[in-house]
Amino acid sequence: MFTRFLLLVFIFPFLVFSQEVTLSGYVYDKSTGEHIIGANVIDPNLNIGTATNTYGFYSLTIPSNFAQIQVSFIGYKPIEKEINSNKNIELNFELETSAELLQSVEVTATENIQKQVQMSAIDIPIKQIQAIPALLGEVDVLKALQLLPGVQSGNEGTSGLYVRGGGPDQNLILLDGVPVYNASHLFGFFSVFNADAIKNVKLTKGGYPARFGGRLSSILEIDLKEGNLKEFKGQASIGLIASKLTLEGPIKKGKTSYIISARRTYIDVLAQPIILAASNGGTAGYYFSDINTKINHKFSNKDRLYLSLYTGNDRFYFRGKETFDNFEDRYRFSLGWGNITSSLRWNHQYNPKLFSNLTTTFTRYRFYVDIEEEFTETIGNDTYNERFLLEYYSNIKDWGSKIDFDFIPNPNHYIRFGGSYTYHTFKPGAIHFQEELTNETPLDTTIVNSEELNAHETYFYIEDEINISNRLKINIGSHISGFWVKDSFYPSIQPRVSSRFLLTDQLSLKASYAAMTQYLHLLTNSNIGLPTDLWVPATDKVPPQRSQQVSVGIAQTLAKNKLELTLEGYYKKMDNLIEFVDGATFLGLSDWQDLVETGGEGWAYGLEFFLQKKVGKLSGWIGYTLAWSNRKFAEINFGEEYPYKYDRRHDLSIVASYEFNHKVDVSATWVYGTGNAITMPIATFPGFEYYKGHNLTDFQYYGGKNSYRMNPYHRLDVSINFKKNKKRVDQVWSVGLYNAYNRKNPFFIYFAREYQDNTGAYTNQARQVSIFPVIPSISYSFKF
Amino acid sequence: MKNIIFVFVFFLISSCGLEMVIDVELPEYDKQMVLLSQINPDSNNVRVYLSHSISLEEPNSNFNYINNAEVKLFSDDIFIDSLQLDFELGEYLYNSNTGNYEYDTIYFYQSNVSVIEGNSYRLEATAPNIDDGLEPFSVTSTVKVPSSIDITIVDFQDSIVNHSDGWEEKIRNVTIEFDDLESDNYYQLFVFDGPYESYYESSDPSLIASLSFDPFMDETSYSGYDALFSDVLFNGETKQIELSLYVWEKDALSSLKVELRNVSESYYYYYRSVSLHQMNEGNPFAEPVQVYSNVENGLGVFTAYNKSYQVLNLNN
Repeated sequence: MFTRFLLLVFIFPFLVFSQEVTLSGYVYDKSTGEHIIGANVIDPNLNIGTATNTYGFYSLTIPSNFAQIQVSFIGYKPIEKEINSNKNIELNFELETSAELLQSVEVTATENIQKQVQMSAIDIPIKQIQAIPALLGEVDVLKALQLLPGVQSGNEGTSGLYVRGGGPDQNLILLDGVPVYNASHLFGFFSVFNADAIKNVKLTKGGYPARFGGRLSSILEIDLKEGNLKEFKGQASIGLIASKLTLEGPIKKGKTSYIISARRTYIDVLAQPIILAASNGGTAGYYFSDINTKINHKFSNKDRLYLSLYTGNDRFYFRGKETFDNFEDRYRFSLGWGNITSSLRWNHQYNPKLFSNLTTTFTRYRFYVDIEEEFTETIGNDTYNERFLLEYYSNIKDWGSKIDFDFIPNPNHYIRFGGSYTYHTFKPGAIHFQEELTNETPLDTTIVNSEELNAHETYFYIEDEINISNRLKINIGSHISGFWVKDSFYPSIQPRVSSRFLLTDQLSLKASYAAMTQYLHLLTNSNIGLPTDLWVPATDKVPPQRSQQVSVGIAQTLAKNKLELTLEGYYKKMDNLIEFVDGATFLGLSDWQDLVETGGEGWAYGLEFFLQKKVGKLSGWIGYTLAWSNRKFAEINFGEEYPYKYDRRHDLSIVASYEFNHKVDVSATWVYGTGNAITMPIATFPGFEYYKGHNLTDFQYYGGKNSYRMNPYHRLDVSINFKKNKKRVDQVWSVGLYNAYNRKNPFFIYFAREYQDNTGAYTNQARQVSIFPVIPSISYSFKF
Repeated sequence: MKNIIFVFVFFLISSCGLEMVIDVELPEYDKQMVLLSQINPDSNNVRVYLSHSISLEEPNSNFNYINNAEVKLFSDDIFIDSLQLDFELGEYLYNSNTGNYEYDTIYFYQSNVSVIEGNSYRLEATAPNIDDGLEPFSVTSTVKVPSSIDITIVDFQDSIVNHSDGWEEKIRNVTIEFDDLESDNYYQLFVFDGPYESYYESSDPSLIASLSFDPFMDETSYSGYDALFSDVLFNGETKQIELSLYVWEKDALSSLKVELRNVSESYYYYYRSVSLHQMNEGNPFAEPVQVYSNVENGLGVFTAYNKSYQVLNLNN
């Protein structure tokens, strides 16, 4: 069977197209020299075409020696070129941005949506993300994605993604191909991605092609800019939260370029004098910062090297001292977390039809808490010292390498194959404790509550996008993976298939099936996505998570391609999910494996509606999701099925931008979501106290796990941009309002218990706390 | 540009001091009958506490006893007795209505029946609903009285640990033994040093496993007064457990008593959930834990245990 498949894929295409000519090369942005991802290269007369890959490469084989090639990408002036050759040709195209088209922000696809075989995926150009009103004016990639159907936000203001009923751990976030394990700054209120350094964002939430694997719910690809190959450029902005600076330019024109982008918050610096004055010499603060750097060098048209580096850190700290007559107490506390990711990528073109990318990656996420206190007491001539030090630290580290091939034998086949190996190191947590007392032997001990684990993960894949007829196109493939940890080995074969059938030129029917396996788990028992959330591997006690997802839908373009409509339904079954046992927390001394319930099942299903206008003065979209997401564990909720924390029946987003003229544009978003499901006490009842038996006390009754719905969430954000061009410098003032009509959205609920003097009774009043009222923002940015 | 800054400053000022806490209403809640009873063969009665739950929003100052119920006891589906309402005085508390200190009154239903090990008992309780127009309360619950499992002290030794500061600590190492039955069994272990309930430690895996709900405990040993554990690691085997007791007044003690309760499944799951429930109450970072119930159509629990013990007189 496999041999027949190989014959079909590799041999047959060559036999049919023996007189062919292959065009290959790259599509660039004319002003910057950056690759354009997803540009169309077509011959409308022959009705054949292709699109550039992540590195701007294309290969198009034509069945004769004459072709009329059109190269286009939204926001650029299309170009046409006549080809008349009986030999293969290397041909690069440079597209020029179109001022007219750029006036409207667009969400783009590589080809008309109804013609793509891929479903449940969307690319968002960074221009669109930057146009959406943002909390405190700080543009955030992940929050923009939350506005898409099938993607839900977690708590108010946070940047976690919950895709099609999955958890935040089930998203594979790839920054230039490298996994990012914790994508949040400031306890989840901002994501680690600096929009100024990003070129492209693509989210796939179902119908995964075989080249992707390792997570159950989504693949988020974030590509950094490569750096301007032609001239030195800069961009800077000053906002309420952070300031950013981006510089890019050629090291050697046309050959080598760089980009460096840095961001830092400065509330700690600004508030420092006040804190110092108020705290008698003590200090406290919080900041986050990140730096993206990328260098690339073009050896030839066939070889190119990229080196990307990201480092980001969050740190919260306070320190101080208190002095009495003969006594001094010095203390300091520090809590921090951060990611480092780096990748070295080598593009190589073997021949006009075969392209490869070799990537080596390193990624590390770490979290630490550091507490130190020192007492000094003087009694007479004697001085006594006591010093305590407590450190908690955990991290996850990966070294990896992968190779991907694109083989395009003819316009009817696009074959991708490759493999990967990753070496994981998990340090789920260790506590280091030191104690030094005058006249006593010092204590210095490290308690490792969970041993360091090393694991090997590998996968191979092959997929082919096949034009079976003018109407039917499929992508079929398989992702085969394995995971070794200690003495356990978990293999997995994950078949994938997606198909599209063109009902008319404007309307297509799509269906897909994907099996996924995830070898990593995230331990989290908080509702707010703390940096303490811990990544752990599948082990002999805790098997990998698995899922199967089926999606069906229609895609249609309307109003002369100005509107795109998709309607998709999905059903996803998840197995081997884990949850903390009731009441557990991992900052104790127990092995995490003893604190989790395993064997959980999850069901997520729903319907997604997406209507998008991409061109014109008014652009934007309406996204609506009707969804259900439930979980079941033998030992949780007494074995009964219960709603997932972020089970959200209705989720609606309306995003609109309107450009009045070259100087002023406005944007607005309105979101509505069913309230989050929480476990909340609704009654009290008496019970026997632990353990003696007949002493009675009051307990709270919750009804059922996650059985209470908080109030619905809705919010309007607006922003207005004023643009000015002065002496080759583009300036933008942005003014925005977050939560413009001051909706009191629920963040958490607590009970105020009050004693009634007149009756001697207690009353409990449920109170909802909101954290973000109407918040204005202003920022200034300029480009040169 | 001045206009932009003016608009910005206006909103900045107007957003300061906005009220961000609002009252929310809880969903409608119908009261449920709560049945609480714990039986054991050493007791010469069966006592049942009946009360009802109450919405958190309603004023509440007591346990809301139900005094007009009919409570029946069945043994293996054979009617045994109707339980009669009685009361006893509890704590001496200040009553804000009268302005006096008064004894709290605890109501219960009681039958002077002794339960027998190995038998199943069912309680049925009915009462008019507290709220008009709603269905009467009617609950039922069943429990089987576990067998008594003999416990033996097979070894005990005292040792002295000398600390660097001159403090002498006396540690009593005790080994107990019992024969577990083939079925699923649950136990609770107490130790008394003289008249006092003793705090003890053990590195026995079954006792450590019982702690999986308490993540702050050192996983290499159990420490406490009342380990509640299951026989999942030694089902059907003869089980030995080594315990260490810290003896604070080394010359004052006259006897050593170990008590093993063979407890019902409902006892094990109820107290386990109660421990977790109380530990997590008010912790915003932990998922709340529901208290276990084996009462049909209501809340509460019907549990049973059967204890055995051995006493060593240390003066002899």
